[in-house]
Amino acid sequence: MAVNESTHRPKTDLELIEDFRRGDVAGFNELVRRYQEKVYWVARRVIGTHEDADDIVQDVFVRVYDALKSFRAESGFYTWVYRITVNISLNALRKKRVKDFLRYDEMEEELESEDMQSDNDILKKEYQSILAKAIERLPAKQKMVFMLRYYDEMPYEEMAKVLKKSEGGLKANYFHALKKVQEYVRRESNL
Amino acid sequence: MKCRQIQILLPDFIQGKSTTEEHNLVSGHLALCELCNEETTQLHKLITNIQMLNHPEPSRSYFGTLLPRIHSRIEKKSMPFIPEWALRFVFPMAAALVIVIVLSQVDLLNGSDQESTLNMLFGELSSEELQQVTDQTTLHSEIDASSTSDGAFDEIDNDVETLQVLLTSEDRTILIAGLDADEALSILNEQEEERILSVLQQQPIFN
Repeated sequence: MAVNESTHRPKTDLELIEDFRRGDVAGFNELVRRYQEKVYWVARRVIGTHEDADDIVQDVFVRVYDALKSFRAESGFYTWVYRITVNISLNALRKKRVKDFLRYDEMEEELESEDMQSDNDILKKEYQSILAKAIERLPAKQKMVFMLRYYDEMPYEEMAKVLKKSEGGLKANYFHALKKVQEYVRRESNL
Repeated sequence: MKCRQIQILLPDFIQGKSTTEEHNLVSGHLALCELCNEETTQLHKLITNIQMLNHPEPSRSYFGTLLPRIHSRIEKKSMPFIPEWALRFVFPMAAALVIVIVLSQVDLLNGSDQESTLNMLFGELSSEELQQVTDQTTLHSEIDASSTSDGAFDEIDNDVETLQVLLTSEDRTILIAGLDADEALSILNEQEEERILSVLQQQPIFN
């Protein structure tokens, strides 16, 4: 971990950015190490698969590398990275939905051909599959609000900066996202 | 507060993320509202079920190898980007285009050679001589096209001989020998052609 030699404390994000601006790539490397897991999990929850999330993480940090010299620190570095992650993830999600729509029949066949399991396991698995699909089907921006709040427990104040929405609007979005998931599960599982 | 306003605060209330103020508002409302109590129970169940949905963790080495791969992608990006479709279609098409252009240039050069030869040749002839050349070459090609009798060819041959004598006397035999009837015709305009044809039609070989 990069430390400030005079005080032996870890360097702040801004200090690392300054290092990078002076030509020290170690500053960038430390920022990647610091935030790669967070970026990965945002992407992973939005997009679903590890392979797609991996692609997004790399894209995010390539974008950060390109734009870091012009970063104006109007918001915190992590808020800025989050915003980049959200944008790239949403784009990837839209593309993936088109792709998945085209191979929908294929997916249905895969589900049907699963091995025989106990009734209980099947019911549980089926419920979880419906639930996962319900979350996956959320409108892209609503899904992002749900992910940031539910999994990352991001405060509304920070979310408002990342997503450029009002706190009240975000609270309503979060509630409606859950309601939409609930409705879908109820409809699909005949509960 | 109305139920709708309270329900928006329910997810955070269930997950223990409400502010103190919001917590008090929701608690107070739930103590009185059966409908919102039912909504809270349903949402609680859903949130608990979502918590059971797990995304499998990536491999242990994943985050350790991420940075070199990011740098590799940065390097790749800094290289000039040539999309695959360009390699497949644009370059072969560009190569074909270059070949066509080169070939057409060669053809144009040949064409300009012929033109300059004609200019050199006819530029030095007097208008009377030029008229004789055009008359004879047109006559020659018309005869070819209409496949007339041997007698007609004799007459043409006589005229060509006259022309050759004329050219020899002007020391241009070598140049005119390199021209065929088509080349000579190309310098005629339509009016001249019509006039020559009308003259030819008056000659006995066409009657």
